[in-house]
Parts: sequence; C-alpha cells; structure tokens
Amino acid sequence: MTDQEFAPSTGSSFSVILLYGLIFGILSTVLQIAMGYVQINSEPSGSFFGPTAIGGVVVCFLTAFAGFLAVRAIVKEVNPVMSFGQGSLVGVQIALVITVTSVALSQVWYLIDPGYADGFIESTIANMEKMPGVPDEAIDSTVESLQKQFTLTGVLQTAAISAVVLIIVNVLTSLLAVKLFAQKDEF
Amino acid sequence: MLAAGFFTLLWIFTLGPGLYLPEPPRVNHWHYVAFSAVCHALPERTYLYDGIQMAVNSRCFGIFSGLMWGAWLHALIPIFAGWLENSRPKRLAWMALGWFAIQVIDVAGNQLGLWTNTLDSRAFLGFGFGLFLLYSIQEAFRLPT
Repeated sequence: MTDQEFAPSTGSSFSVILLYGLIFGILSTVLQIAMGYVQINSEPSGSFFGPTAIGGVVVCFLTAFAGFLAVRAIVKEVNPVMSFGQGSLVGVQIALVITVTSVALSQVWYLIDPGYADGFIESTIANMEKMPGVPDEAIDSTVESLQKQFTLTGVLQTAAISAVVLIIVNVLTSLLAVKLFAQKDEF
Repeated sequence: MLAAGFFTLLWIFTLGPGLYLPEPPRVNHWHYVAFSAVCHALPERTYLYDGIQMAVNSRCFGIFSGLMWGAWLHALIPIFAGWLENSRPKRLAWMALGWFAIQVIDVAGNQLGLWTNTLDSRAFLGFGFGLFLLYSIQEAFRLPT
C-alpha cells in the first residue's frame, strides 16, 4: 500500500459519522417514541420500570456506543490510521449529529401527532397514582416538568444539557475503538 | 492528573442534587437532564444520596466511579499500566470490552428472569467496565512532550 492510500480523507470520514449519527439518532428516537405509545396504550402498572424504561436501557447502549462503531467503520473503510485526537473528534461529531437528529425527529413527530405529549403525560399520571406513597405534590411537579419538556424550549434545553455528557461518553468509547482497531499515527 | 480531576468532577455531578438540596427537586433538574441521554436513572435502580435520588442509576454510578478510579490509579501508579500494556498491548482495551459484554449479559439475564441483579451487583459490574475503559485509553490523556 502506498502512502497516498493512507492519507486522511476527512470527507469520507464525515460521511461515515453522518451516516452513523443519523442511524443511531433515528433508532433511539423511534424507540423512545414507540415505547411511549406502548406506555400510553397499556394499563398503568404502578412501577417505574415500564415500557419507556426498557426502551431507555436500549437507547443508553445505542447512544453511548455510536462513537465506538463509527470509529471502527472509519478505520475499516476509510483510513486505518487514526490518532486519539481524531478519534475524540469523531466522538464529539457523532454525539452532535445524534442530538440534532433526535431533536428534529421528535419535533416533527409532535407535529404529526399532537396528542402524543398529552397521552404520555396522562399515562404517567395514571401510573404514578398507582404507586404506593406518592404524594399529590410529586405528581403535580412531575406533570409540570413533563409539560415543559414537551415544548420546543424544553426540548432544546434538554438537548443542550444532555449533549455535554453524550459527547464525553462518545469520546471515551471512540478512544476505546481507536485503541482497539486503529493503526498508530506516528506523525 | 488533569484527567483524574476531570473525572472526579464528573463523578461528583453523578451524586445528584442531594449534594446541596435539602428536598428532592423536580424530575427535570439539570443533574437528571444532563445524564438523561446516556442513563435511564430509574428510581428503583438508583442509589440515594442524602435521601435524594442520584443523577445516574447504580450501574452508571459504578461506571463513572470506575472512570474516576482508573484515572487516579494511572496518575498515581503509571508503572502498573505501562507494564500491562508492554507485556500485551491492547489487553486492557479488550478487558474493557469484555466487561461491557458482561453488562449486556447481566441486563439480558435479569430481563429474562434468569437471575435478579441488585443495586450493588450492577454498580460492581459497572465499576469494572469504567476502570478498564479509562485505564486502557489513558495514553490519550498524556500531554504532548
């Protein structure tokens, strides 16, 4: 192989990041919305570990390891040489693409089905009412918080704050992938 | 040392609003929102700090604790990591991946009713993953010479 073949091709790397970010952003959002519908249409169980929580576990794994899989794909398909710095950048970029995709998709969905937010909040109230020892103030406070979270400002605020930790986690998993799969950049 | 400080700060954030609030805050308090993209933090699966739910569940608390201890161990005893890496490169990274696989098996086994995990068992398994994850990538945090 010649040196030219190992030359960084950032354009292709970015398309891999975009592809993986979109896939994981869409997957996690669709899963969250789907689990929201399962909760809306099921009987209140009185437990926190409902359908949305099970979806949440899968979403955690998906979003945290997007950077790992993106680095692995870049190293295999684009350029086998990657430094830790470049790996970190992949982690940052993929976390941002996931955040933007997730915000855009959820906003579009709230427009398509305006009843989703109300249905979700009502099912949460019904579930909390079945829990033993939950005071009315706690239910009111949760409802108020959820109502805020479903507004555009609430979604943007949540996305901005949670993106910070998502970036940190994706940088860490990207660095792990660099360590495992990439050839060291000697320069 | 800088990395150890950073991960200690992150670990402090995972302790949640119980650090400075006397009463439980709303569910959209920034501590909970910050970790919401990477951790479900279900009340049933989360430790309390001073009577208030932490920002992350017990498994993630274990992971963030492992990250912090991994960073401190490397900062204080760098020879140990160097010896492990020199004797077999990438061993630590594969161990981190192995610990991650154990998390997936643990979650699946619990969901399928094969066993019942506890707050402490989840925290312990998470700790191993965090420790080896940070330990395996410690060279990324070295300042250029």
